[in-house]
Amino acid sequence: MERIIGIDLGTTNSLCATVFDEGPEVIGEGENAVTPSVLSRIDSGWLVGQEAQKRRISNPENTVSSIKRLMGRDLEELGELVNELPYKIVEGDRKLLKVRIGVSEPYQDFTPQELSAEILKKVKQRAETALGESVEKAVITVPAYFDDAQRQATRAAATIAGLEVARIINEPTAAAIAYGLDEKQDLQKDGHVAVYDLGGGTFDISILKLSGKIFKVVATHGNTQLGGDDFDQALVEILKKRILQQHPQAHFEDPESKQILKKTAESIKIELSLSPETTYTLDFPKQGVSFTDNFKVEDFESLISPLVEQTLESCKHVLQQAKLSLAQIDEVVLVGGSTVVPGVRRKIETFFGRSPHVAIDPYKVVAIGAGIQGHLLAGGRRDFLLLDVIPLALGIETLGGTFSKIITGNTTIPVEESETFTTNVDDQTSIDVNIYQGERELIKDCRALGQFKLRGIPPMKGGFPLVEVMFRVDANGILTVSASEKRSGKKAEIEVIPFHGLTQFEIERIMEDSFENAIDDFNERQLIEFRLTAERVFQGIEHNWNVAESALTETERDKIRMQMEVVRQSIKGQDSQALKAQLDALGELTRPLADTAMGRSILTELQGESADS
Amino acid sequence: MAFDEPACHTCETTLVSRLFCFSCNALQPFPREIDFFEVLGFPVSFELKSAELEERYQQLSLELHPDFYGSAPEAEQLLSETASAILNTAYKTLHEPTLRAGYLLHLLAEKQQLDERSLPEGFLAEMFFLQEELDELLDSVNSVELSAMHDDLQNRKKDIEADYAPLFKKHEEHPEDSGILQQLQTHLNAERYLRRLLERIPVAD
Repeated sequence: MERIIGIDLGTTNSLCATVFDEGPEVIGEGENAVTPSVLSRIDSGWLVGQEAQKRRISNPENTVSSIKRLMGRDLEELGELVNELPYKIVEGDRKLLKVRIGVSEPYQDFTPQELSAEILKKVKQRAETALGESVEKAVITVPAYFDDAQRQATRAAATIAGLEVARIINEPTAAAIAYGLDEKQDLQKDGHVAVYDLGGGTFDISILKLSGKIFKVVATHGNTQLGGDDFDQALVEILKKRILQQHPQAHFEDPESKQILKKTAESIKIELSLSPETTYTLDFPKQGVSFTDNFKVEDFESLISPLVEQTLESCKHVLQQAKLSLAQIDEVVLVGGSTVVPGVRRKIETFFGRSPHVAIDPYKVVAIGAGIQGHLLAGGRRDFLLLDVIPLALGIETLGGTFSKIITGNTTIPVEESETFTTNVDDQTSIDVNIYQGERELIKDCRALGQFKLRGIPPMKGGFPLVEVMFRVDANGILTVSASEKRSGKKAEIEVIPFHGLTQFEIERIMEDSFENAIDDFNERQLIEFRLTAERVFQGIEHNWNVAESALTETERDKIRMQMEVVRQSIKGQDSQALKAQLDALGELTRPLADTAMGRSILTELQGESADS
Repeated sequence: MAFDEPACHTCETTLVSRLFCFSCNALQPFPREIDFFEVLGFPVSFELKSAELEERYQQLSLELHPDFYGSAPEAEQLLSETASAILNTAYKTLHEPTLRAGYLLHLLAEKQQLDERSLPEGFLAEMFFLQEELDELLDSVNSVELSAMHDDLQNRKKDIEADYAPLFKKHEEHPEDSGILQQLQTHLNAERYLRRLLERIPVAD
């Protein structure tokens, strides 16, 4: 059975999980299990994760975080966020966002899809190292309230990263699976579960109905621009005010200051989850400004209170959509890093009138659920089924800028609906249709997903052709459109122009570029790795040469010396595979040494290297 | 109507649902014009036990969903996707009494010309009056009176819904009487008006 891992591609952190013989668990240990969703540009490519995290302050203009908030969005929709982010954003064709790297010309621009792909590549590599096998397929989670453009962007990122997306599932649903299928959890197996998911950049509330083997999403609501990042930003604004009172000359527009403020805000937030008060110091060496002060948990809680209230408004809304009262909610599950903030947790508890489930690590639960879903898709089990919904209605623009819904929000997927169109004038052979997603009456309040052009309609009298357009939303929540003319039976050609996404052509081009780079990158990584191994092995052999002298013959020792020289030559070369071959040969020659008790401990590493190959 | 009883295309067992054979576990190819009752395997009738519908929907979902065809040949994956899509639409339509009534009427009235805009006597005038009242209440944000109006509209809607079952039953007994179908159409139209008014009232906390 092939393995399909689950990936939680988060605003702040990304991690992956799979089902092991012992059960579902996050892949990797300690630092290797979590990849901060941060990238930093270096000459030869990207540093991703912890290494990039360290460069946030030392190298702010080349370091990018919170990329998820940009996925499938345009500049206008980002609003204030653009000024808060410590890196530059520009807008390209079709309102496609790009992150601009560099302090001066020539800049390098990258789409959020490409940047997310780098994070996914890192997660994939780490998973491959930990599992000792290659990983080709994944279930990737997205906020339930992600619209079509945001889902498409996520899928494009995975494609660029060389991952086949087996399924895109919603984060709260993944969490529900993790809880629902964990025998250790005392979650009711029949009833309504509310999953409250507050992450770094997004908020979702979903109501699921559990009955027998089926996890059915009844309704979902949320805000893809609300999360822990906003807590940080609220703190940043306060910090700025406090500093300005003491140092009126201080300024904060440069990337470095923004990063310093953000990092301090993050640590204040974390400290206040543990203690009622914390002291912080902000140093802006370039401005000669240093500032120290205290922050009280009450002040923090009243600061974030309006944001938490917004999430509770969503909770009310979702209950209304699900036609359920608070009393009918049997269980509440908390997901996402921001739910560890005590002030948040208390408010949720008060709202729902019950203590929420928190037994599964809120940082890990989404990845674990995705891993379980991957296991199901790979054919490893079929004892449960997840029935998810599209969060927002899909439809088209009709006369007067009104939004005509074709598939309503909270509809179980997969789903298909068709709509018939006709021409206005005689011999018209094409029709343009604008696709929107949203819950409002007018298209100006909804999101434009794209435009499709129906072409190849046989020339007929105006109003005579019947073009049936099929809207199909697959189990990933992604829309595809197809069309046919009913009178002639002719398949109308359809071309969808995405407004915020990458076209197939663009995805392919990026992939070609990154494939060429990937070979170099891979070779480079391996070279570094094998060179280090060789150094350690040489040390091992040289420090313990006396063992070799008693255990090996003169000829055998000569051969080892000669091979060590060959390895030294390979170290100077650029071919990682050649180096590996010579290291393996050295391993062969020292094998008799490993058979002696003393030799074993010295040369384990070398033999281990050979055994892996 | 023996020819109406569909059989499995592989093992020839009579099918419960046109989408799947529970006997040999095979996905069934199905025609595009399949009706929602055939999808879920119920007789074409307004009377439908919601617990039975729920159970059948779950049973079929557990067999048809694309999640279970991840490593199947592409044609089968596609069929499972299409079958699940129609299953979901069929369930949603039959589950909700108003949608079920509308759909059933559409099936039954296929060959008859119904006046699609008919409304009960004096209904429109009454609706205009209610609409104006609602506009005023929404402007004044009078939550007590708004909720009273909500209840009133809700009750009118329930009264209409209560008529569906007996009317469809009457039609089963007198299929030649097209007046019954017209009456149902009138009911559905009236209910739609009420629903639109109800949608405008924000839900109280």
